[in-house]
Amino acid sequence: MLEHLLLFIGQAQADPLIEEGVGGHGGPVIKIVLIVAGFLLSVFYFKKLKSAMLDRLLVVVGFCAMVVVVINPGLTTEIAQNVFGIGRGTDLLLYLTVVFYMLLIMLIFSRVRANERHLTQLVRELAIHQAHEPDKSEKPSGEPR
Amino acid sequence: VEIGGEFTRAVRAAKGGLLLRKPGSTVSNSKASNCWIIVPAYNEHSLIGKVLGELVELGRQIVVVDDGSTDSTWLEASKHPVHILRHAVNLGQGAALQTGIFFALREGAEYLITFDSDGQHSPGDIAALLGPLTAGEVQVTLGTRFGGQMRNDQTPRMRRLVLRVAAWAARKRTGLRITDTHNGLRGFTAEAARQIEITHNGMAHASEILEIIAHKEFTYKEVDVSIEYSPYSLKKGQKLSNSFNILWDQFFGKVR
Repeated sequence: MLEHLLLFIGQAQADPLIEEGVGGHGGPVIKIVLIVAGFLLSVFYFKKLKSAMLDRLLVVVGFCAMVVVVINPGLTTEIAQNVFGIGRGTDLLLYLTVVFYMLLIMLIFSRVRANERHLTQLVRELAIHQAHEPDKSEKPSGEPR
Repeated sequence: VEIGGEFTRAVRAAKGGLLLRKPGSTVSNSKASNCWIIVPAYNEHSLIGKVLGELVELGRQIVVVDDGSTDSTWLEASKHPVHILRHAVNLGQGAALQTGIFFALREGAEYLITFDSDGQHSPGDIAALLGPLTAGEVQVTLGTRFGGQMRNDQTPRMRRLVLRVAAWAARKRTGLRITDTHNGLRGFTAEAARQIEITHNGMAHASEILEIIAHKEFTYKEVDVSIEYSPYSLKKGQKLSNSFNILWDQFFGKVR
């Protein structure tokens, strides 16, 4: 997931350079900043969030894709026009980003629901295990007096 | 306190998605009419003492589920001869009811009555809810404030309107013949209670219980009960969001 996000951030920020007439050759500073940021995020993802093999592969692929489009922003426009028939690369990114975020929200929501369910079970078990018993002397029998 | 082992077991059970098994044998005081009263409570320190004092007079087993109260609810309840379960965090009334039902069944309850802790209900009504259950007439009894003879004129107009519309929607949705969807006084036989699993932790359990009754085709009956509107309960019940939620749940049920 994160790798896609990286990809989108990388492209979305690199792309407007075309619109400003820089002709797909944005200043080197922003490119370095984006690539370093993407690299650090990927490393962070590797180190902190112990993830599955497939996830790691996706991060690597995502990072590489990001480097490619950051260096050559015109590529997204080419893909947009030739593959999807959309005018600008920026628009393609916007559409993909919207879909991606909606997916992300749904995933997080279902995760939250699952956590809630687990928390409920946990709290319930603890409550029952630590039940406070009434004083034996006064304990009602269950029969009406 | 030594909760280490229990805690690990709880985690394991939570992971496995299964609920708890009693370690030892069950309490075997199952007499002819072993009835448990379940009282969910959240921050009710001012009234729960009075409510429990009256309930204890009935001589039934009582289990209070303190739903993570931040006030002295637990302390007030512990002054009475009742079982108290405490949720470590606030989960909502639906979750509290489910915990109480689960505990009572585990302790061998044959009949279960749910009773709100805010002083709205009258302990005298419990016998009327229990009657049809012990007679084997129905599996579920539901308290109603809008029954024929006992039409309760205390109900504030706006609240009555909301509850009426909610009941109408619930009738349409579930096909049950009911007049009051949000009455905390309910009775269940153990057989029915065992099949009830409230998954909505919050207030939506009212519509969820109706759905379960309709889906499992339990036999049920509405019983006239009184509701006492104190300034305290009115303040709690009359929030606009409350009315909105009541209507939403009864129109759309589990769709959320």
